[in-house]
Amino acid sequence: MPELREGEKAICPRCVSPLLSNPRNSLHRTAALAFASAILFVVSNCFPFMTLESGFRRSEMVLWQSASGLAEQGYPYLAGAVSVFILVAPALLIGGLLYLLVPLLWSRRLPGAAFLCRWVLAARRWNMMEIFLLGALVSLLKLDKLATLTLGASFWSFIALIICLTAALASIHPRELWARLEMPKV
Amino acid sequence: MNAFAPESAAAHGLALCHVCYLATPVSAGRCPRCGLRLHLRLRESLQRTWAFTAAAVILYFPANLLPVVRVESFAGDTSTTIIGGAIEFWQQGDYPVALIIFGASVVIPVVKIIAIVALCLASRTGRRARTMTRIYRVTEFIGRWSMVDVFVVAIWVGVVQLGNTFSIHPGAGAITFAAVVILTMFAAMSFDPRLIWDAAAQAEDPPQL
Amino acid sequence: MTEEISSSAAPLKPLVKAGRRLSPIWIIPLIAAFLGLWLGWEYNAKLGETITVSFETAEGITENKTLVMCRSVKVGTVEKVQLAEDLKGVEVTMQMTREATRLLTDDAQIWVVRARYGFSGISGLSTLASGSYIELEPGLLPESRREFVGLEQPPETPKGILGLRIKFHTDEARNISPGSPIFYKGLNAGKIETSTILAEKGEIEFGAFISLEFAPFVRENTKFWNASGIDVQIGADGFELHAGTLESLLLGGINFGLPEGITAEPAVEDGATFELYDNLADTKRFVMSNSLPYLLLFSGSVRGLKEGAPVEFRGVRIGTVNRISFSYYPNDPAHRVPVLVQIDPGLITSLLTESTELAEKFVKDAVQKGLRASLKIGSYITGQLYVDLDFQKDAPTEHVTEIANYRVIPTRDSFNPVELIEETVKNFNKTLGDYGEDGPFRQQLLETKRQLDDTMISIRKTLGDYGEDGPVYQKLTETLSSIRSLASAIERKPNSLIFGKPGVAPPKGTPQP
Repeated sequence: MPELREGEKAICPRCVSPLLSNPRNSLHRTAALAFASAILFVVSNCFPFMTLESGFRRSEMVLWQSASGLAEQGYPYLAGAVSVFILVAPALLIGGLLYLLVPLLWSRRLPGAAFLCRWVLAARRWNMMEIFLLGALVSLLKLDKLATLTLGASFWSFIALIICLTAALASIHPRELWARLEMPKV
Repeated sequence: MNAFAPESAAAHGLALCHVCYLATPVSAGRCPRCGLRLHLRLRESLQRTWAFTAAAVILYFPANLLPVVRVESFAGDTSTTIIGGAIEFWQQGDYPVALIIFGASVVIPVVKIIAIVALCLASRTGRRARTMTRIYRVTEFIGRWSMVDVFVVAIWVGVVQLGNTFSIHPGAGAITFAAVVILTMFAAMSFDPRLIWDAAAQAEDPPQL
Repeated sequence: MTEEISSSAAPLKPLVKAGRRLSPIWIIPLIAAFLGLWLGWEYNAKLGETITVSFETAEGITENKTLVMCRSVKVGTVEKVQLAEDLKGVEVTMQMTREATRLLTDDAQIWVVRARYGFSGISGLSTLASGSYIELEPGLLPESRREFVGLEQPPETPKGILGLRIKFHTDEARNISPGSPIFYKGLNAGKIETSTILAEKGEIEFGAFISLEFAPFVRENTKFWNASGIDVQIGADGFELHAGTLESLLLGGINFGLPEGITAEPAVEDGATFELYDNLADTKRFVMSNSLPYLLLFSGSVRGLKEGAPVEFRGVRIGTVNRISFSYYPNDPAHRVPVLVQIDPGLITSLLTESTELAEKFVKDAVQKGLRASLKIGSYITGQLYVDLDFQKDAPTEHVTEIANYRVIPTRDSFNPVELIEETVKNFNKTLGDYGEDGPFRQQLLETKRQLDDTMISIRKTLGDYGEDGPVYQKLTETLSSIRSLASAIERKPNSLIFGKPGVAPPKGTPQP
């Protein structure tokens, strides 16, 4: 495997898939973005996402209530699926990244890193926050006509969260991650 | 049963761990880095893919026929299906919304299923391997976006809790549709695109670019 | 080109970053942290006190949803609802905003404004109901309380708010309850605040508040009527339909105003009492507070005359029929029907200040000159009657008399076409009956025939002298024969006497124009 200088990519000759790349400052960048994502994730789940007001009725929705609401309505499996897509998978991603990357900053590796790394990489596929955002935008258009709709703080932090997490994931590559992880256990 | 292309790693008995990308002789059993069981190609790839796809196709019909959302209000109860919702949006002038819903909930799943079927067939014939692989990557990527409608329902149910005389309830179509999307995702996951290349190598004609 | 082949034995060297410079990328998480902290702090800053209020029932109150308002400004949210320890009520915990803390006075009043369905101007899928909310009205004492006892009924509008406070009496509530709005010319002028049952009178008393800007419109002779729902009246004028606004249909509402053409009396003070009429038409029954009552005694049937029917003088409405009842004059030897009417002096005299004496005098003079009351048909469709006052030509002199404390205006026989028609038809039927099989006329015919027969015999005898072959005898015989055949024809078909042509069936009861 050729050693890459920063900024270069290697691709498979047969199927043209990217193999390895070495983006700049990738470790710090990923870790910083992971931290930001963690904070934004907490914020997004603590404050109201959308508020609907009509007359004297007021309904506030926090992010996780989109899943719990489904459970309350008698669809627990659907609620479970939705919570995986917008809560469990992102949480796993962010938590996992931090667990892996932070020690790496000091060239260390915590126990269970390999196991966790597998799960973190698998979770990428199941993280659907940006799709949720699209759904929110569609709902917005419809609900706005119904009553007074206010976008809460969580809405904006959610957007920021998506951006940070996507950037974090883009700045690491699995092979590289594995490569970095492969060192004598401490 | 597939013979491998002569220059591929598989022909040398090397398995590439599809998680950590470490190439190891398959005789080692497990990947030394990540502990995943090694295999040259995904196990029973085609069988699993077909199974998931079949299930997705079966569930696709109730997913679109069953109502996905139920609105109870002063004016009475309304149940809407996915397609019904898209039509309603269109009739009310929300063209972009209607297109998004229709695209995500009807076009994408259908296209994805067709693509997977095409991929399965290609894994036998090995034709147009490079294009197929591209299709595979695209399919994997866009498949998740079909979930939009389910999230829209989830948000509506979560936000519109004004009680009394206006309330929104999810319908059976929602969980069914979510199941369809998840199944197609599993179908794409089970499919090993390298099979196409194996078949391509096996074909008498050289693989087309 | 080779693929990646690496033996699992050789470890890869980790890439070592050059130096430990903190890359500027770390600003991003710092910003995120800052944002989170700021949001948290802001949320905390907005938090005010938590109060507990006890109610009898938590109907309409939902955790985390129901709002606490003060004069339409949100001051808190319901946090928790639980049963009171002694299970006699509920305890509602409310999280107030910081600005609301100063409202939590010792004598603050808190009550639930229960859901009333109204329409909000929303286009789209459907209308939303404004749910119940909790209203807090601060008092004047210093702020200190955190535990309250909620009121079950909204309190009367506090003294502080300027306006007019009046009362209504009615026999049945009919969709009116505390909270029902009061409208003046379609504008919201006030609302009902309290309702009490007066057991002795069997009436309901409503306490109402009229806001300051509408207070001047409430006069002593202002009428208040129930405007909820749709009001259909069939009266002497025909068919009337009144519907309040859509909102009053649902909310129930009271309208008020001065009847047409009436001048306003002085404005009222707090505490004035009014009658609440069931509908608009009822208000027209009593046009003015000092209308003149008169009693009319009709000899015929008053069928078709309804209470509320107009009393007109030459086509101009001057009063209303108040009551029709034998109780006013039960011992009338002629068994006339007493009808009590109210004459509005203001409509008779055109003076700006109506005075009853002038009106009375006018009526007295008019009666002497021949003014009489009679019943006329108001509408041929509905058959309703009205009272018509007019001068009768060559009327025998009469005066306004007094019976049982009421002044009486003399009446004259009414031309009641309906009755006349009925009479005519009845007579007609009777007439036809007379000509029928068993009717008396037939008997007479038979008699006549018998007599004719006898006559013929006696004439024959007489003519025996003149000789049977004489021309006189012939003529006589002929004449007698034709008469006879006519009698027979009539015997068979009595109708031919009237209608000429034999065999024409009589029409059934059609009046001849």
